[in-house]
Amino acid sequence: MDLLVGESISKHFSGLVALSNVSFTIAKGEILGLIGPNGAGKTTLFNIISGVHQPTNGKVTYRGKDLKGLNLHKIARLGIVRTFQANMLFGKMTCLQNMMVAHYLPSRTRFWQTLFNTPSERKEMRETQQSAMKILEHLGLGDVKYERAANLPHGYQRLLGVALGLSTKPEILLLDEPVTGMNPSEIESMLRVLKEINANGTTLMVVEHNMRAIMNICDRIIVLSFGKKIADGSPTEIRQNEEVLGAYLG
Amino acid sequence: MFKGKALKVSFWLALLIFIFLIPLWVKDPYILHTLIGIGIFSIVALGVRLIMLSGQWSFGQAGFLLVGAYSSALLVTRLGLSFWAAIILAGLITAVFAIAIGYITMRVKAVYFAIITLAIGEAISLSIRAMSGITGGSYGLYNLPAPNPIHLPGLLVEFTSKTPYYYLMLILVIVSALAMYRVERIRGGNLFDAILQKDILAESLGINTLKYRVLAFSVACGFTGMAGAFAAHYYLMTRPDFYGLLHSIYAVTYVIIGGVGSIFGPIIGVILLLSAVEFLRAAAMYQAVAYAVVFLVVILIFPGGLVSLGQQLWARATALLRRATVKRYPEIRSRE
Repeated sequence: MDLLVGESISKHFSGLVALSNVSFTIAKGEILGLIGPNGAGKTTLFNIISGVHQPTNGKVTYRGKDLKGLNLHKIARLGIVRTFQANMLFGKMTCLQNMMVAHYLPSRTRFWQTLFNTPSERKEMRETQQSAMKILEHLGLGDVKYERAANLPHGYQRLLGVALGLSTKPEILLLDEPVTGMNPSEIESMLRVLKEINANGTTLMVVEHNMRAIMNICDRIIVLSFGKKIADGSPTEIRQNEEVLGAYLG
Repeated sequence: MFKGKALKVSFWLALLIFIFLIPLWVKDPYILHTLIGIGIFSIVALGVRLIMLSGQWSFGQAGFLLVGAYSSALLVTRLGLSFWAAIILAGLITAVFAIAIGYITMRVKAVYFAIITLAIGEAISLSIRAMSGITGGSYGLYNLPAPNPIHLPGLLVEFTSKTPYYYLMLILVIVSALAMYRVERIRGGNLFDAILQKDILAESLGINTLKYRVLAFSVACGFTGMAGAFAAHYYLMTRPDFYGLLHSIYAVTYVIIGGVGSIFGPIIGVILLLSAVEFLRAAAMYQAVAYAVVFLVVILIFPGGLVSLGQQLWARATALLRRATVKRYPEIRSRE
């Protein structure tokens, strides 16, 4: 079943064509890779799916629902959550506090409960804290839970970014360059985490430059070049695709 | 032995009792009048701080004081409502007004929002002048009634002297501070902190940042409106030039000088600057200059405001105290 469908999406930034006529589908439970040279439009496509930008033409549908006009937090509420390319974290908060914020969607407290700090709200906060700790431990961040996010090493910050997205219990998690700038052992632990997340039922869409990593984890890969889709297939097919080789090697 | 929290709580409790007992030994109406003025602007400054915590700057709070003052004055004089119903309705009207303005204008942030609120504050004052049929125009509304007396078993409170006003103001300040503290502490205080630090990340995690910004703005303006209503029935009059741009700007300086980091910051800022104004009555024309100098000195020397200075001193004092105690009673160390 196709969870997310993009139909001939185009995006123009005042004359500059960032995406032209890109169509794609994501099936439930798969790991879809999105690759392409710099400036190919990968991040733009992410921004359109997650509601940061609206497409100039075309539409994105999620479970048959048109996402037109929905902004970031509404799309997150539907279950499509993204992580960011830069180290986008609440830097002055501890890891645990970051995670508490990220549990906003799944925690069940209603507005009035949290305003008056009712006993059920306090109980909920304790449960939320346990869930946050569990995810941190699981991702190997248990030892740094009281560290400020800004003080963490790069690899940990990246993991925390994924942990934040995961806390929302998303249907589809969009990962923007999850292993960029990491050392090989950090990459390995990140890939292990991503595979586990996927095995637990979360559909993943990954933008990445690291070919080895993306070939390793993806079920299917879409290749963009200069805003156009030039290939769509399994890692083996992509590796042998003439046009892809051309795009990368010039 | 020296639990920081117990010490802190007893300190604030003592301070609160002291503030409650002031009218027992201060009979000078002039001092009570000054304290009431401090109360009014404490509420305004608390609101400015709450708005700042949501990442916005408001330079239009004087306008919301006027909305509250005129709402209450008109409800009492035109519709014959009691003061007590009117002050609560005035707060609600101002809050709803702020929600309407917030949803339209909060799509812009920080400095841009500050400019818009500045314009809105002035627009409110000008609109009141223009609607002279209802509001009395530039002359304002006079001969407003004092709050209706409170009949309690064994106690009759009549608003004929400064003392009952003082207590009413004190209750208003405490209620406002508690309410705004609750809003600030939504979800353990992390939510507004998150919105302030990285609003796009908060959005991506499903948080409707606009909603919470509007919430902070409307709660802040609602209590400001109640303070305005109080003022109208304290001075027994209200005029469109009663609160203007300068008051809005002062409200922001109170918060910055007092410190954004604590809910006591704005109150300390107001107490310091308004009492300074009273001491320097003779040099009133230099008030703005004096504010500017104090403002710059505080920004340059203690960027966290006077509260951050107090917190540092407090930490140092309790550390010294603890060290002295441990020296005298070494067995405490093992318990710590």
